[in-house]
Amino acid sequence: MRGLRQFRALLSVQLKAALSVGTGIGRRSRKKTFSGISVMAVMAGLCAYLSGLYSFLFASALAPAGQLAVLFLIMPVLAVVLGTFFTLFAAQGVVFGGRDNDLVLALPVSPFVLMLARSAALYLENLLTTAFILLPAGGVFLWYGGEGGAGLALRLLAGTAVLAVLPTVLALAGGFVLAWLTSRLRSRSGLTMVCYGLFFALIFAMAFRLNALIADLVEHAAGLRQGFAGWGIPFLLMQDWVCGGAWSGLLGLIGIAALPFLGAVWGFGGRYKAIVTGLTARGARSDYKLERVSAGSVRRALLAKEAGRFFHSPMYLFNAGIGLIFLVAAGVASVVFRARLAGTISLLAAAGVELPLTPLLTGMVCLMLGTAAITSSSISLEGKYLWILKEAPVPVGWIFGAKVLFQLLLALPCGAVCLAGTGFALALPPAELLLAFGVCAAFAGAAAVLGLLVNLCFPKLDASNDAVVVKQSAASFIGSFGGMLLAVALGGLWYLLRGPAGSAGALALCGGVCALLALIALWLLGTVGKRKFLAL
Amino acid sequence: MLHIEDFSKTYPGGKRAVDGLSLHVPAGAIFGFIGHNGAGKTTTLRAAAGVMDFSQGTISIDGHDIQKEPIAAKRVTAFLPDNPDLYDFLTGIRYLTFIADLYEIPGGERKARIARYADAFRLTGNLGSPIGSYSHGMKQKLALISALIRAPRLLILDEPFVGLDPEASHLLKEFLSELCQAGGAVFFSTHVLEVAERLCHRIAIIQNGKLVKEGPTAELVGDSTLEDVFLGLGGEGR
Repeated sequence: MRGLRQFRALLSVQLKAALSVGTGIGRRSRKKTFSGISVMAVMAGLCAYLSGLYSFLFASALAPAGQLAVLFLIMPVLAVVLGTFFTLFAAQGVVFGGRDNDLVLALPVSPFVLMLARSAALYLENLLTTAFILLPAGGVFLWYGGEGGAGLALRLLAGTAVLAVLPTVLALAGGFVLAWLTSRLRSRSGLTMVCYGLFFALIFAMAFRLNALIADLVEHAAGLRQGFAGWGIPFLLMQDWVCGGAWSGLLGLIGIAALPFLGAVWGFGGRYKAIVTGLTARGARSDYKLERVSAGSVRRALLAKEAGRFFHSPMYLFNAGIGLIFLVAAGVASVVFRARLAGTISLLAAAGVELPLTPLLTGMVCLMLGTAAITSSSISLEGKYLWILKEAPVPVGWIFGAKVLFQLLLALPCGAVCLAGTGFALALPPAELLLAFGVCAAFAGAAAVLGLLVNLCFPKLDASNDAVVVKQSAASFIGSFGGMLLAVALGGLWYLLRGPAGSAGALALCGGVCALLALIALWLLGTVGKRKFLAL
Repeated sequence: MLHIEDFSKTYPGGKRAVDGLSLHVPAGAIFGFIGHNGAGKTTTLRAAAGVMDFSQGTISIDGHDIQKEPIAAKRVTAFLPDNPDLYDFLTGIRYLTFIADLYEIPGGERKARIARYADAFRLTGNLGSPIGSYSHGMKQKLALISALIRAPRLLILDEPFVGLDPEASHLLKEFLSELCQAGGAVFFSTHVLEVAERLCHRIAIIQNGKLVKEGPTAELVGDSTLEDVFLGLGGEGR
């Protein structure tokens, strides 16, 4: 009983630490409650959106062929991949690298209960992801005439609860490996980046493979189960249970997911103290010789500090900068595969589809630039270090300026690479490319300043690690999704204006709107933003 | 050097941390600020350093109002919080260079100052390592070095002796005295009353946000000890 009470208390703390957003734990405030709920709502919304989109896409193709059940083979894969992706770094940072380890390990709680509580917090996050992917898929299944009714819904709920354990196990294992690698590397920042890069490359490869599968899904739907033999047994069992009501499926799934979970918790829990001590123990070298000390300007120092934080935190870089990486990759890929790209455009043109290439390219670049939520996490990441900036004899405007400028120094070259590469591949006129770059630059400016404002309105200065700020804070969510929404809204504006103003004119007007937005945001930053910063 | 006039601070939620505090730290003085936990010491120090916003009262450093002329006031000040968190992602030397850049310390001079204080605190060999790998005491020493290399006119320290080894504590006392002899001033809080009694020229005692005693150490203590004086105040004002 005592163990259960301890477990519940620890789980509650872990969940609060993961989801609480605000400027002070323990303080009740409307903003904090709103932020916590908003984080969960946005996560759920994103999963439900992806699920709804893909479920309808798959179901509309599968239903006529009588292969609707395949939906419960594919969507659980999406749930597990997304769940693992969402919780992998949390497992590394919170389970194996928690800054509260000294405090928690000193408590009269068994390491097994502690490990179980931390793993259970990850499980609950995965349950949210899995539920908001599988339940909409179930709805779509029934919408397209799938059989099962209420029974199917109940089986889906039970299956969801069990399946959510799988990404938790994968995240725990992956998180441990990442934490171990990080602790062993001498030049941890550079080599850790490589590890994260490899992880993302793997995710992309899987995504491309899935896309290839979608292309001829209906043709191969009947034989798809054979393709899942071996690696995909959990998904086959899930399908058997949800569609056929086979208890063996549910029991098998429990065996495959829950037993490794308990094994991992027992295994890690048994040596938890030794593991986290080994992972976090680092000694300072004592062979430094003071020779040359560099000197620079105040602005350069602030900018270098922003760069240092960004490039030394893989969590920050890969979450806030993933859109920028995509831009560079897209620019290079466009040049490499320019013949294929030009061929596709020619085929569309032959079929009578005239794509507005420059506005389309501009919109896509803006969409990716919108995901770069660097400034919208930068104030929160100051966290406990904020006193250093507040104590310094530096105008607040310079601090803001360094944060905005750093985002622009990354965003603009990445956008330019994408525009230049794709423009070259599509043989777009230089004048149009220049206009596109102007619009993207104005958009990037607006996004950077608005992101900083959002972070000043929703700061999270008490996070235990970067993961909580970058992945789970309200400001980073609003920053990235708000940026994407702004890009979509600009697309709508271009669509409305293209008739009266012409395509290029409409694009220029969109750029003007962005520039105006950036100026308004700058004014707000200098007034409201400054007040908020001083009050932090 | 430091003038605090009728300073009050009320936190959101209504807690009045400091109530009508007036203090004057003259140039050349080491000024000890003592009180129970939650008495308002840290709030006062943070406000004086320009780290925390406030709406009642005025605080000026070397003639510069911390709210109206924050840059000028901060340029002659160095502040050290009770638990100085420093950028984990920087090495010790990068952090010192960053601070030197913010305070625009000329290149040649900064090397001499860093060498002097880092050697004294026996930290030079560790300056190439990331701050994340430092122990609490090493971080405390690095923070002190970063404060001292600015050659401040006013040094504001919150519990500066916590975490320091005896040798470093002794060195710090020497540096504080040196700073005061050069015309600067030190305003620091501490719970170590013996240190305050031996080191400080003046002492102020704050209870429940209000100043209850202030004056030259010898006058305040008299034939008794600072501990007796402090304990003698008992729950007065609490």
